[in-house]
Order: sequence, then C-alpha cells, then structure tokens
Amino acid sequence: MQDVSFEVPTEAGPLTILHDVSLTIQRGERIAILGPSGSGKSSLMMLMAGLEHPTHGTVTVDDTRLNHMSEDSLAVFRRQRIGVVFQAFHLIPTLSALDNTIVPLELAGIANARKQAQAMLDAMGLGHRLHHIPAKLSGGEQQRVALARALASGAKLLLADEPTGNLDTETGNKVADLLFAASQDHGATLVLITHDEALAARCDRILRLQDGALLSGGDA
Amino acid sequence: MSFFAIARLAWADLRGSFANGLSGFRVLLAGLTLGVAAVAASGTVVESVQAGLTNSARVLLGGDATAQRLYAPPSEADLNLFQSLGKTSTIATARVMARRDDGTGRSVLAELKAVDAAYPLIGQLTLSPNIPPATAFAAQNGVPGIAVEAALLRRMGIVVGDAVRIGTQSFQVRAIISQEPDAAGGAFRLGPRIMTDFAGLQASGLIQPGSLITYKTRILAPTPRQDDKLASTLQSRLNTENWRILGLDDSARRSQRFLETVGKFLTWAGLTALLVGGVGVASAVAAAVDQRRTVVAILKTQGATNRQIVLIQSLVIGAVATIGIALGLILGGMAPWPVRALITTEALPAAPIPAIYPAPLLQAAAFGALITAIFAWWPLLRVREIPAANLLRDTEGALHSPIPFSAWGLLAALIAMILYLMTQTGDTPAMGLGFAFGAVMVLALLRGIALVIQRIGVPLLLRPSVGLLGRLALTNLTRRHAPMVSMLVALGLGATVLVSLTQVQGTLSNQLGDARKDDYPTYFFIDIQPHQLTAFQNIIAETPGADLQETAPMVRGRVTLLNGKPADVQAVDPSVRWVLRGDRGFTVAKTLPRGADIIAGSWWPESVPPQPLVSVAENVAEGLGLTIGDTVTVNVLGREVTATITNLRGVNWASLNINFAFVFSPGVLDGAPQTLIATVNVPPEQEIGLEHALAETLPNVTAIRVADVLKRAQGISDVGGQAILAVTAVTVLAGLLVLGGAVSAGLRQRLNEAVILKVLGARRKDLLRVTAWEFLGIGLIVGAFAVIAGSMVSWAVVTFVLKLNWSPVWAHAGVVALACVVVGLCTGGLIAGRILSARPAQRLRHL
Repeated sequence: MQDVSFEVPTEAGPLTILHDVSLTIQRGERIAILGPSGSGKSSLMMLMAGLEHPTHGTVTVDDTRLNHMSEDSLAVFRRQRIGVVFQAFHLIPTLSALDNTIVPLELAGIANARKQAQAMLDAMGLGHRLHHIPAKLSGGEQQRVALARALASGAKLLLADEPTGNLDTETGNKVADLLFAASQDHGATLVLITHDEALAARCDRILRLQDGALLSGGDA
Repeated sequence: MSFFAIARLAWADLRGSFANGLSGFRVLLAGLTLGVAAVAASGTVVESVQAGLTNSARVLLGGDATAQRLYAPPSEADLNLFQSLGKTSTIATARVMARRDDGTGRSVLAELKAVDAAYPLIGQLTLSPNIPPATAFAAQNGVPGIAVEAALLRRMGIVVGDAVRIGTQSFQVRAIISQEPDAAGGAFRLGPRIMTDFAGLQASGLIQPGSLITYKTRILAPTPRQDDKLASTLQSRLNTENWRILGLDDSARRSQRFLETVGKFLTWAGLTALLVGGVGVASAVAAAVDQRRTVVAILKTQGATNRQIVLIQSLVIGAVATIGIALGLILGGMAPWPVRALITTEALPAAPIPAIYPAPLLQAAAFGALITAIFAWWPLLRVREIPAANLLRDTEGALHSPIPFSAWGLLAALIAMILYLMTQTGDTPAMGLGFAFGAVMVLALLRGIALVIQRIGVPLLLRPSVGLLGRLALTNLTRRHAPMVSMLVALGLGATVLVSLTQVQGTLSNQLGDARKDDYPTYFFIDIQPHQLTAFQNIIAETPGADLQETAPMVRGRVTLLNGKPADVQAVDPSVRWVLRGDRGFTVAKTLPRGADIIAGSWWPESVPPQPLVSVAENVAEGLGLTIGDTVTVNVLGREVTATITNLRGVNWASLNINFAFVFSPGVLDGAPQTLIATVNVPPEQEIGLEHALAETLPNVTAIRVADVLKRAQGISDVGGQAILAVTAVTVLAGLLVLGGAVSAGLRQRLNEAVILKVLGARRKDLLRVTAWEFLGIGLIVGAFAVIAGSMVSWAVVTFVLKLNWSPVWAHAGVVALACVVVGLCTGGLIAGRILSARPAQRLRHL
C-alpha cells in the first residue's frame, strides 16, 4: 500500500478513516494489525481485499494494482488470490458446511471442487459435519468452515478480521492454531486484525494503527 | 413496568417508525388499507344501491301494488275492485317490430308500452321536447304518436318527426323519452322502449287472440299506511288465479336479488383480498419484528420481560393496523360517490344513494382488526424468541418459550369472532362458513404445496451435479421469508381465479362462436297467428336459401300446483326457480321435439290419449322434485289443466332450438289462445329481404335475431367477466403487496449473502443468474399451479354448473402462466438491482 488515504462521505462532510498509510507485506509473512476500535483496521483490510477503493494512493497485491479494477475483475482476483475470514463467520445459512466451502472453488471453475472442499474440511477436523447447515454448527465449527472456505481455492493472501472475536478462549485458541498452521501449510500471507496482543505476538510483525495512521511496523 | 410506561415505550417506538417513513410497516399498512377498502367498498356500494331501490320502490312498481296478466285486459269487475282500493292506472306491454314507414332499413325489435291517461301514478314521464304525454300520443291528422328511447332513433336512423310503422299502423315519433319512472329495473330487455296510448295500441292491429300482451294495473293506496297491505288485500280479493300480484316488496326484488348475489360475491372477493392481505400482514409483522430485533434485544438487556416486550410490539402493530384500517374505511366508505357517477340508468333502475353506511364499515373494520390480530399472533409471540445476545450476533433465536394458555385462548376467541362474522355474509350461516372454510383450505393447499417443494422437491433436485449457481437458486427457495411461499399463496390464488375465469369465458365464447355456425337458427319468430302459418311458410319458401326449421304452438301460463300442492318457489332448487316465477311458455306436440331425447319413460302414442299427459325437461323435473307419474297443474287464462308426467326429456338448452320445459300431449291446451313460434335459418344477405316481406304481410309477427340476443348476452357476460376481473385485480394487487412484503422481509439476509458471495469472488452476472433462476423457477411453479388448479375449477364450473362441454382456450391460460413468470422475473429483477448496487464493504461493517 502506498500513501493510501481513505475517506467516507458523511452528512457533516468527508470523514477520513486512513491517512497516508504506506505498508509493504512480504509473501508468506504473517502480520498482525492492532489498534483500538475506530482506528481503521477493518477499512485497511477492505482495501487489501479490493472491497473498497482508496481515496488516494495505491493498493497492489501480488503485483496487481487494485485501484482501477472493475467490480467483476476484483471478484475474479479475490477468488484466485484472496481468502477472507470474518469475526461473525458469514457463512451462507441455507448451504451446508461442504457447500459453503465449495462456493469459491466452483466460482473459480475448479473441476474437483467437491473433493477438494471435503479434504479441506477434513483437515479442519470437520469431516463428520460436512452436511450440516451453519445453524447446526457451533461457533468454533462455523469459523473452521469459514477458514476452510477462505483457503479452499488456494488463496495466497489470507485476511482475518478478529477471527476469534466471537469465540470462547479455548475454542479461539484452537481456531487460531488452525489459522496459523493452515496459512503456513498453504504458504499464504496472513493479515490478522485483532485486539488480542497474545494472538498478535504469534505473528512475524505487528502493525499498530491509531486514528487512521500507522504508528509502527509499516516497513517489512 | 406499568401499562402507562409500556404504552410510552410503544409510542416512542412508533414515533421513531414514523420518522423513518413507517419503513417496515408499509406492507402492513398497504395490505390492510387495500383489503379493508375492498370489503368496505363492496358493502357500502351494495347498501347505497339498496337504499336507492327501497327509496324508489313505489316509483319502480308504478304504485303500491300491481295486478298483471297476459292476453286479456282487466274486466269491468276487476277494474271496479282495483278502483275500490285506490287510484288506478293500466298499461300494456308487448314486444313488437318497428320499421321505417318508407320501408327502408331493417326492422328493429322494440318493447312497446301503451299507457292510459292516469299514467304514471307516481313519478314523472319526461319527454324531450317537453310536451305532455297525451299530446305526444294523440292522433294528429289520423296519425297516432309515439315517444321512443333515443336508442331506437339511432338504430333506425330516423329523427323526431319521422314516421315509424308498428304492426299495421304508421306512427309519428313525437318525442324522445328522457325519463321513464317505472322502467323495469334489471330486466332483460330485448329492445328500446316505444310508448303510446291504448288507442295507438289498438290501431296497430297487434291485439289478436294469443298475442303476448301483458296488462298491468297499478293501484295507489289512498293513504300511505295501507301501502304494505294493499298487495295482500288484492291477492285475497282477486279470485281468478291467472293474475299475478306484485307488492312493494316485489318491486325491486329482481334487481335486489341480483344485487344481493353481486353484493355477496363482492364481499367475498373483498374478503379474499383481505385474506391474502392477511398473509401479507403476517409477513409484514414478521418483517417488522425482524427489523426490531435490536430494539427487542436492547429491551431484554434492560430487564424487560417477554410479556412486556410482546405488549409493546402489539401496541405498535395495533396502532399501525388502526391507521391502515382507518384509511381503508375512508377509501371504501367513499366508494358510493364515484359509483353513482359511473353507474348508468340502464344498469340499475334507481340511482344509488351515496351516504356513510355505518354497518358495512363496522363489518369491514372488524374483519380488518380480526385478520390483523390472527395473522400477527404468531409473529408477535416469536418476539419472545429473540435472545438478548442478538446484540452481539445477528443470529436466529434458539429459545423455545412455551405459549401461554392465555395466548391460545385469545387466538381461539379471535377465530370464533371471525367465524361468527363470516356467518353473517352469506344467505345462510353455512354459506359464509363454507366460503371461509374453502378460502382457508385453498390457502392451506397452496402453503402445503410450498412446503412439499421446500422439503421434498428442493432436496431431491439438490444434487452435486447441479452447478453452484443452480444450487444457490434452489436453496434460496427454502430460505426463511422465501418469496416462493408468498408468491404461491398470494399470486397463486389470483392467478388461479384468472385462469378459471378465462377458461369459463373461453368455453362460453366457443359456444357463442358456434352460434354463428349453421347449427343455430338465424331467427326466432313469435306471435304467429295460427291462421297466418301458411302465409308465413310461403314467405320463407320464397326467400332464397331460407329454411323453416321448426314451428311449435305456444301458450303462456303459470305452473300452479306440483302433485296437487301449491308450487312454492322457495321450496325448489334455485336452478329451476325461473320455471315457477311468472308466466312460462307451454307447447303441445305429437312427436318428440327435434334435438330432444327421452331419458326416462316413453313418448305418448300418435293417437290422442284420453287423459292429459306432459313431458318435462329432465333437469327441470329434477329441480322441482318431480318424476314419472307425478302431476303438474298449469293455469292458462284462468283455466287449470292437470297433466301426468309420462316421460323426462334431455334438453340441450344451449342448442337454441325451440325448447320447452313442459310439452303437453295434443289437445290438452285446445281452447287456449295459441300463437306459433318458429325458428328459421336464412343466409345473411337475405335477412333484410325476409324482414321486409314479413313486415309487409305479417306485421304483427315479431322477429328475434339470434345473433343480436347472443351479442347482448355476450355483453352481459362480458360485464360480469369484467366485474370478476376487477375484483381479481384487487386480489392480485394484494398478492403483489404480500410478495413485496416477503421480499423486503428477506432482503436483508439476501443482501448479506450476496455480499459474502462477492467477497468470495462472485461476479455480477453470477449473482444475476442465481436470482434469475430462482425467480424463473418461482414464476413457473406459480404459473403451473394456476393453470392446473384454474383449469380444474373451470372444468367443474362448466360441467356441473353451466352444464356445457368444457372447451378451454389454452392460449389464455398460457398468457396467465406467462404473466406469472414475468411477475416472477420482474420481482427477481428488482431484487437483483438491490443486490448489484449493494456495496460489500459498507454492508460488511454492519454484518
């Protein structure tokens, strides 16, 4: 990210969320972004995922500049390179665990999507819960499905927004272990947004955000 | 927490909703307004028309009582009796042929009315130019005068002052009838009115033995107190049974009977709309509750009990419902004003009286309130299931609080109240309850089909071989607030009615279309005097291509006794009550009439049997509860004839052959004033020539052109069809509202999912495809249901009610099915628009 600023329109005029953020993350690196609520952590992640466009500056992922890409091009880019894990899991409630995991694979047109998704869920310890819909799964299980979904299509950039925020400590720790292990196994770059200092400490580098500005850790 | 505090919280919540433009309540508001307006409008319009009829009863009857009979005017003794009871006026009516005096143009079938000097006893006959009736009818230079309806001038291409020939007499048109006070309301009139005096009628040469002339003497009671008694006094003092007495109660009865039927139909149509709206209320309340999850969760964290929360939400919903009901009452209550402006004098004999009618408004309000309460019951109870943790996570509640007995009691009381109200809407309580049962069963069936599709159909189709987008579309059919359920329930009902209507109309059109083929006669000729038969046959023979199909003698009289007991109209099947009302035509025949076949018994031998025998149409016998060996007594001009039923005939009433309900054995009706009736087929280019030839030689013979009658019948059927279409439109509109409600209720979840799919890499066209397939599927399901169910209904109506051959027009059903698909795709398009415009990042922040 180079000199990235991000503003959102409000009734009182534009509100600046991020100021001149410059940041480089190396392939395979594990980064934690720490900061109080409202500091701009989630916006930073949205920009990395191509879900928002910066007001100023450039965002480049894997040598691809995201700034002026169309919505559809970004969607295709995401399904090939980026996996996202949310605090609230965001599984599709009408689909089973297996079908939720298949979604990015089939969108990417991968031939043996079902087998691949099943293997991913097996790896997450959910081989016996394949056909359960999200409402029938515990929070930890739902997050593991979300993790399987994020990594299923071979994402090289894994963005996790408070992935343990909705889980109890024990379950959270297990999910975190899986997250780190899986990202390592898949050689994926991990960007972890968290409030949890202990979790952040497991990363290679910690970035601190405050009032939309990067306080430390911007350079690799 | 006191009730006051609860009410204050509810008010604050409501105020907030108002500030948001009642977002979340709009469907509830619109559904209730529409449904209540439909019920209120049908009720008040019927009341206003009834008020108009009641108010005009004396004017329509022409007095306080009428004594009428066919063939013969009242005798001196009869007149003395009438005059002893009050002021009297006598008129005579007949169907006649009018033609231009110069012999050009077509003959026009008209309804002639001859009046005496006392006419009208009540009201005013207004002519244009405004001349006294006596002046209009009086002979000038030996030429009597007539006043006519403007329609006659248009049809004949003449103006006031021109000459018209009726029978053997030339008349001068002196005026146009602007207002005829006793114009028969609701009666099926075959032609425009012509009025003259008795001297004119006499001069026309139409008064011949057996001519179908009805004489009516109106009597006006000297004091209004005697109004209601006059008819019964007359009934008891007039000895001969060939008189028909009509009192004030009978005055507008025919119109009222029609009106009551229409009124019930309209009320039920309104209720169907309200019922469909009720489904919308349920979805709208569910959606409103869904949107209030955060509020409810906050209240729970602040210590509010389930009971208090349910009460708060009930008050909010109740307040919004009250606004909807009030708006519906205002709209529906005002309906009589535009109806009065729109309604023509031809449609109704008396103008509706626009006013606020409290009874139907109260009924509509009660229906609205009860349906809201019943449909809101479950969604409101579900409020208790919303966990306080909803503040942290947007998940479904997993609590399962038992439903208190008081809630069950309340539901039972509400259902009992609405069932009681339903009993008040039909002729009998069973009829109203029958409608309620039928409507609920249809809705339950639709709901059941939706469930079968969700629980069995979708899982069967959900195979790995189906692509992701197809699976997503399929699973969308099973989602909470799935629009398929609403579309099937709400639109399915309207579409089914539409298909059945088009199929019934299609059958009727096919039937009428057949009428233009050779099977049906071109003309019915009535009032042929027996001595004119040879001349008539000669004229037909001289007309190229003309074919005299059938002739039959006809005598008119009344059925008075069945098996020796007085024939009671109310005691027989409604489908054959027409047989006992007023005068009917009877005939005699040696041989079995053309087109008929014997269903039971046998035809009489050619040698004249000694005792009177009668053949009865099978459906008439069944409706009257008669069978072979029973007796029928008819009265013709005071002479009673009792005949034994020897056989039952199958009659195809739609064949338009000469069909009589009762055919007597030869000789039975001898001595009665007979005329002949004939059916003739003639090529179109010879029609005018034949009419002219008959007008010249046999001016008293009346020609009824089948195509004109069918056109008129088609017109009436079209009006009926349009009325049904109009009320169906209200149901469909209510259905669309329900659909809108269901879609908006599920929209939040749908947008969330779309955003997740976008995050996972779904392109715009992927999202579009999922929505398009889902709604294409829904449209097809609804359309298929409508075609199947609608066709079944139309088959039953055509076969069992109309007793015709079912000949559906599949193209029409296809159009309705296609419309369902289009509605489905449009709905999908609207949703897709919202999905595509949703900004993922923005929604993700709030997920």
